[in-house]
Amino acid sequence: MDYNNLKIRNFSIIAHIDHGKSTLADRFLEVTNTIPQRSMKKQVLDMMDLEQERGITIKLQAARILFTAKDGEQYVLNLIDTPGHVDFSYEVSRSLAACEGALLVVDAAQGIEAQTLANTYLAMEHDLTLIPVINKIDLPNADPNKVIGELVDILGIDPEEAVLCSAKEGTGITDILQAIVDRIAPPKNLVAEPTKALIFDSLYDPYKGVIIYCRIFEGSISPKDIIKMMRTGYEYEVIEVGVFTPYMTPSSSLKAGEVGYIVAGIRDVRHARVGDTITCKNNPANEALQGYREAKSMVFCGFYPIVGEDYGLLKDAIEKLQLNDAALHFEPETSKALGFGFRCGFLGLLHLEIVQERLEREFNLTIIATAPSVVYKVIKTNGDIVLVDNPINLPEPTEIEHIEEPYVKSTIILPNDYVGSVMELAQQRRGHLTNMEYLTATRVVLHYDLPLNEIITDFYDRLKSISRGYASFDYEVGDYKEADLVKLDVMLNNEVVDALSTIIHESSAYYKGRELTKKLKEIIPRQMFEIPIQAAVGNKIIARETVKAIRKNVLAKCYGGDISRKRKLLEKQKEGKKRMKNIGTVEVPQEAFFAILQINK
Amino acid sequence: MWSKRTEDRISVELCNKSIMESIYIHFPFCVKKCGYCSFYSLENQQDLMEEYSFALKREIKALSQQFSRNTIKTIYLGGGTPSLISAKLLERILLCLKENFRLSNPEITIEVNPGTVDYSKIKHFFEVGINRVSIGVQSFLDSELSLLGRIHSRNEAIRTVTDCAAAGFSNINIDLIFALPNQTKDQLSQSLCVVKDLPVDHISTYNLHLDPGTPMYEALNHNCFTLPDEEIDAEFYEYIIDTLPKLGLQHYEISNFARPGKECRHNLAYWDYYDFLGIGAGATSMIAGARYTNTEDINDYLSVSPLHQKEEEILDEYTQIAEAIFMGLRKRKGIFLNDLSSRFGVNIMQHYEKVISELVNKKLVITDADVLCLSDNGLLLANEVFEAFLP
Repeated sequence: MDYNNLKIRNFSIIAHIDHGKSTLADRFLEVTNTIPQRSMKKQVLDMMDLEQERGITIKLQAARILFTAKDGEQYVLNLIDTPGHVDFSYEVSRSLAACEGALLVVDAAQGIEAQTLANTYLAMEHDLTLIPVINKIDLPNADPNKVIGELVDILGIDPEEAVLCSAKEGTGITDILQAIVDRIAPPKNLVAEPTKALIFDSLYDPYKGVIIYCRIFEGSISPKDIIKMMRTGYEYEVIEVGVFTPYMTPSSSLKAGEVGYIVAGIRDVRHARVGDTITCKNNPANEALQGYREAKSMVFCGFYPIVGEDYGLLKDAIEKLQLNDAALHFEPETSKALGFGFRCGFLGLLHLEIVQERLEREFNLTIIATAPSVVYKVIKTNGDIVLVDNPINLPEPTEIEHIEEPYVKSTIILPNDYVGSVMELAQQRRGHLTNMEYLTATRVVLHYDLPLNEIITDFYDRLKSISRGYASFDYEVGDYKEADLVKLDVMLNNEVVDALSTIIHESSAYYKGRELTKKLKEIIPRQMFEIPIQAAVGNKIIARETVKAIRKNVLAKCYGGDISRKRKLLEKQKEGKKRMKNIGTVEVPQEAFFAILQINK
Repeated sequence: MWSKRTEDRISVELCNKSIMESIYIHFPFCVKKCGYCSFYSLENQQDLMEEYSFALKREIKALSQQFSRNTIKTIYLGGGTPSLISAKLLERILLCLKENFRLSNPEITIEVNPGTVDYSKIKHFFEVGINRVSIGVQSFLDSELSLLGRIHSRNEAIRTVTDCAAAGFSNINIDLIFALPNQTKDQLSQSLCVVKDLPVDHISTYNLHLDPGTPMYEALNHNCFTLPDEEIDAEFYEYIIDTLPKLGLQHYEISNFARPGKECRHNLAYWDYYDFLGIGAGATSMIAGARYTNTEDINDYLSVSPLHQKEEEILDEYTQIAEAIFMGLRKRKGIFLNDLSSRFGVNIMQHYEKVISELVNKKLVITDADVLCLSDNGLLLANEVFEAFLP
């Protein structure tokens, strides 16, 4: 198809999690025959297995949709997918920067949720044209008019602009595509200008090397061009360019306004950083596009191999994951209890869990993840300021003047029936209410400043459970604030296990110490000797439990026909121990290191 | 699957090192399934018994093609409830064995459940050549028996034991289950007390273990009762180990006690890790480092030629060695490492040097010259020991 910038539309879909974004994207591909119906797999754009299992979008994906509009002309609609989870809001902003417009998908039964707001504000920051889409109108409790009312009241949207659809049943899909053509502005024709292309994602392919996902803003890029990364200065010769159909399909060039990929024999993903601007060496642009702020790690934890010998394998595996995950940071660290491992930084807890699961699943490693921590600012008595992302590195109490912890500015949207119990939860988590407003007569927005440390554990789950799933939550990074924080140590068999230490608020030390020792008692299996489990703050023991010594473990009757079955039981027993870490003489299961997360208030 | 390859392998191996002196015959019939039993057995299908015994004879003949030269020293009729068979059908099966194998003064055991036999049937069993009975008593308390879903009472159990003795049996085993729901030490002691006055030569005793899918397991999950915890289980076991020798029953295997000379020769063959033939639905044979298991489904067993439906599990050398060690360590007198070394052509002492020394340090095993056996402490933690020898 010949290039015509007027026939191109670039858009994203923004939605609260579960409002049906992925299903809607699938429908677009189906209705336009981008992917023949018979090869449609549910949620085609969520290509990672994990994404399909968890029903969430982690990595950005892009697709080119060919749509014949009412005027009889064929248009190229480039969809750039965005993740729906709060952990990945950084990635949302990346995809929005590559677009001129966005669909704002809202569930016809649920109405506006916290991420709807957060994403809408992001889109407005990028000056995008918003098309409100009311999805799931097939639901029996759908109330599109009420939802449109909310959009009008809260976001000031013209009610005439809302498009109704049911992605599940496939109604209203072409109306949306038509609205994209009608309302979202085409990219400007800047083909003649020096090349400027924004890298919005990259992927490492073992055969092709780094595959750059980009949006061309000005000029064009073709095979054999020498491209230059404007920030890092690296130069490469382009081998292949192409578009996403949604599978990568080579084309002769990418021109201003188009979205596609570039292969240039790049072996190191750091040479093509997300947010950088690509230009061409023979006619370089003067100024780079506005990039992104660097993805900031919010949550840290240690990853250790169960068996020391696997350290090298773990290192390779994390490096490989990092190739496709710019937000993942890591550096080597050592624990007295766990040996050599890595301190890793993540966008949030979900990101952490996903990385951990991928390491186990895709690389077949058995790893221990230590309790997640945020970055504390420790102001020492000598005036030095140290950043501590690992409780092990907390200076001695005598050297500490005070400690500051990171806060987030959070938004919670919920039916007013649950305001009382949600406020109680936020209070328990040391939140400060900064504002409260009514969206409608029955829906409330609470604005809380919350310590990040209090929400990386189970805050979201608790919020969902006490509001019966009706409350939604979003946050952005806030400031540091001083707090009375202490290090909670755990001793197994009278030895401090550094990997079990956590930094917690003083007021909850006794409670958490007690609950943690109780939980550990449940998790650590009985062994050949009695194991005392103690929690301590400084030199003071604040809780103690004991895992009693194993008394009897013997298979009664074993005769000829049972030998295989009994051997398999023994093998299973042995296998179970292999998944445990030897700390001194104690065998500790993986989940013990995450036990602190399982303590419910 | 039993193939030409299998036959070739067996014939070569058998010439070398296999000791095969035992035959097990399985009877998957019961009057009523017990609440704790997870084994395959059919309730009230005894009318199939005649057809089943034909199928057994067919399998005996088929197997004898390969093993007719072996001298058979033990035969065990287990189940299920083999005592449901008529003495007449039983006689024909034994005759068939005699015609097809070389028998040498064999120990022939039948499992007998109280409530399925009377004196005259027991007498018949004795007359057709059975010389050992194993009686599924389980408990001498009526309350415990009904909880277990057994069909017999305390008095019927006692009666069966005395009937066996009166019929001429001088080798009588009873099975007892301990660590029953809500069982007290006093209750256990009462059952053991009954033994004192009975002509019992051998006791097999097991703690109650409930597998998923059994009615008692479901009841446990619905909190209908609780099982004694690990401490009580261990305490009861120690009490039994302490009590039975005082009655003249020596502890010779983890779960087994016998008067001197009355140890079960058939089961010793398993613990010595010798080969054996298993005949009947679901029965397993161990032949030269491989296991062959018949289909459990009785209709399949009745309809298909037995040799062609066996499931094969070939064990690698170190799996065999590990099994030989953990089976052998079940015996209180333990294993002779030099014997095992020469059987497998591997220096066992050397191969397991580190494992053994760790177990010795943990005081779980005792070594003396080339003998390795469980310590008293290791007896209760035998699985921890066994596990260490797995490859």
